[in-house]
Amino acid sequence: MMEKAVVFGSGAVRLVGIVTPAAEPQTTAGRPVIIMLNAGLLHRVGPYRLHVHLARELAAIGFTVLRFDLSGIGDSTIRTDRLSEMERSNQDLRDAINFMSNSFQATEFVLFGLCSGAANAHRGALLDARVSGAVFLDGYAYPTSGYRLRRFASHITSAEKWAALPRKLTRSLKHSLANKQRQQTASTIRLKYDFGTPPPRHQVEQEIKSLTKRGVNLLYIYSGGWEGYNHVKQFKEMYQSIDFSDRVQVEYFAQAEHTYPLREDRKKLQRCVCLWIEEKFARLSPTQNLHVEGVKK
Amino acid sequence: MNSFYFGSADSALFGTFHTPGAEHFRDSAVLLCSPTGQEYMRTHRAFRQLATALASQGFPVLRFDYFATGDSAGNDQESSVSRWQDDILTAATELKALSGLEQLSLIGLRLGGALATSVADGRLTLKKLILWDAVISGEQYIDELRSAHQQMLKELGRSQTDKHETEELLGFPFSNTLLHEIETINLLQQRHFSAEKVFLLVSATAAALDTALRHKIESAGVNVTQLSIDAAADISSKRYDQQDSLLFSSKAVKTIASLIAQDAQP
Repeated sequence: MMEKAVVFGSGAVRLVGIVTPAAEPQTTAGRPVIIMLNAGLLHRVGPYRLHVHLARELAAIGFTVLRFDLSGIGDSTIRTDRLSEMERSNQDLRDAINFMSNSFQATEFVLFGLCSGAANAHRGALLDARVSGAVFLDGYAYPTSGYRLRRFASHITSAEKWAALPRKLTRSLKHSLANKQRQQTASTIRLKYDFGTPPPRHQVEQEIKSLTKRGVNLLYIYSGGWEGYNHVKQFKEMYQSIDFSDRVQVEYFAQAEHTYPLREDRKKLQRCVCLWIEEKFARLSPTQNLHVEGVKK
Repeated sequence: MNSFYFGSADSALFGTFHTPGAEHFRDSAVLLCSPTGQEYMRTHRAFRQLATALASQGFPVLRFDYFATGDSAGNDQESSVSRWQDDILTAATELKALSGLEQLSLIGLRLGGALATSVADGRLTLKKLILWDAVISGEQYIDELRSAHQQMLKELGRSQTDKHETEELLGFPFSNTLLHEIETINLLQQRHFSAEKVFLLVSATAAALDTALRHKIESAGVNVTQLSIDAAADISSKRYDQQDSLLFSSKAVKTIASLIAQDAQP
């Protein structure tokens, strides 16, 4: 598979991306194009090359993928207009969808994002009716009574956590000193894995409902490393009024860290995403036996 | 700035060419050799800054991803030092063709510094070779990665996965071949340095190995200067929990850009 570097954008903005074409283009007619968004400030290859590997796996099972840098990240230029950070990412994503629509005749899109990428994907799905699916890694999470109870129980019953307390405190102090030093020298910048203050829970709940009503398929994957989420059940606790039916799937990888630094966790994640996308969106070629190594139903 | 793939179709390399400002066109081009693994992720932005600064001074610049890294073709397990050395030679040829210039300077950071030095053994003759916190001993580098990886596993409460064919170090798989190749890197054993000038830039306190390398290059009859730069620009993987920060050092970038511009003909 030959990947292709592409440049697009509106006005003076120049957004850089990589298109991984589907392995068998003849099978992809009518299938959505997958668009991968930046995880924090990391450029488009993703943490530990996650986006690259996932893009190639998805291409192998018949999906064209675009991974690109939002303006000001990676190789993309900075916007000079006076848009807010959210408006900028909305516009960049709209440019990406328009580009893939014009250049690859795509009519449907599935968004994929980790952390701030998940927040951007949430807004993108709401704003553009061409989005028919989205994968959110460590997206919005709101503490519930169940969350607080599990957290408390886990802290008081875990001998390991008590034993690790001095180490954690030391580490926290070192982090704080290192941050202070970084601020003084301005030589390094922390990756923004957090996405600021999330919208109110009830707003997000209504937005998810509107997406499912529109027929958008949603996959939420939370990691054990995401502060604020600690059980697969928490999603239903957060959004009790949502009719999950077959539109919303939630997974919780308790062992995994937020950015998936261990390969076995990344493999599990990739398998989960590929299976979900194949199940939901390979509908136009039901007779074909599409699978990649390690991805079996 | 133009991003594209180059090299053979089945193992294409991703590169970004920075066109120089037309009014300052210089007589040499600059190839950037990035680090690998987590250090690559952390320095991508700094390399873009550096390339932009050099291009604005009139130097054509190419930065690229080695095979099986970044956006280039290949899976992580296919990485190899010999392949990465070949990639530098391929990128150098590409840069000469793009710029129309024969004279090249190389800037290598961490493992990229070791790779850049290793091809300056006569395969490439350089105007300047700038080594930024270069890995001098591959064995020491792997030890540092192993130590940081163990620390990460400990803090995550996880155990080492099977090391039969590949060993995972800070998120990236290293094949046995790659590990062996890196561990045999020892710049102090290189006899020939085909560069007019070498700059050794050290962000932390210079260690005995840095001084030994300076003596080694001097004894090969090459002009060498050792400089300390922005201490906070140290991106070595000694601690895994510092890995969620991107290098963004205007000071280091300014220093390096001025070294490249020094004595350069307009």
